Amino acid sequence: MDKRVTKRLLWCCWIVPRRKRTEWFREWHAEVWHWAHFLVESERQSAHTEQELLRHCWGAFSDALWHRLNRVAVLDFLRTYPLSPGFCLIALVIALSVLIAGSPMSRLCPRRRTRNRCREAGGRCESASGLQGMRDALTSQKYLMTPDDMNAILTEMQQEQREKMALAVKEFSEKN
Amino acid sequence: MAPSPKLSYTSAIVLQTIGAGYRYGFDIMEVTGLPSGTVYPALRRLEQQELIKSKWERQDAAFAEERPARKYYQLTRQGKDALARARERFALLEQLAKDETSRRR
Repeated sequence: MDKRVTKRLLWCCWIVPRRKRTEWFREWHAEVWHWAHFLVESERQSAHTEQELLRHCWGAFSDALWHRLNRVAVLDFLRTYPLSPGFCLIALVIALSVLIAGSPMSRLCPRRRTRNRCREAGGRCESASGLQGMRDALTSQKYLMTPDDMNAILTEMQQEQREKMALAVKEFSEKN
Repeated sequence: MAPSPKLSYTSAIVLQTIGAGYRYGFDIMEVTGLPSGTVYPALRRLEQQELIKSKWERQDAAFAEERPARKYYQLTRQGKDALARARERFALLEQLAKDETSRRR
């Protein structure tokens, strides 16, 4: 039998659940063997019929998938897997990740908070107008934050800008 | 016993073909013209619904002829009932049944 056929069957074999694998392979191997043998005996073996046989082997793929994903197999999986420790652990990790990502704790960083709020306000703070744009963005939605919060952030940013400016002046004076 | 489910047309054709005496997947494909990707899953489904049953050919008989043993399918009693109902439901299937019977004579 053609090596390509056997290889294809062996690949599909991995999809089939382990307990059914041997029988599945035996059946497909026998079917393909008889087909190939029939072609030889009836002197109909040609490139075309071999291609046809290879195409027939693609059916093994959907057959193997059926074994893995048929209704009974899926229901079995749903009945047994959610009770396993592995599934509980994964579910717990996912639930915790979602909780942490959605909690106020994740918004503690003021820089990140400002960025998020700016984005919500239409991203005006990313424009060239700088602090004024930011102020507009922050005040345009009254529910965003308290004035104290806003002032703290703006002060921090002004401080940063001052530092940057000083650094630039220093570099300029050093060059000249 | 669970009531037998309504058969799809493909399943009915496969059932009909087995009823007409074609017992292997390859034979069923030849007769129906259906691709292997349809025939084999249909066979599994019918077997799961206990409308057909499969049986391995005797190993020694196959080895004597220097070939691998094949798995063949046959109708169960439920399968025969389901086929009779499918023939009532699908008029053309009845026609196919007549054609197949006359061809085999």
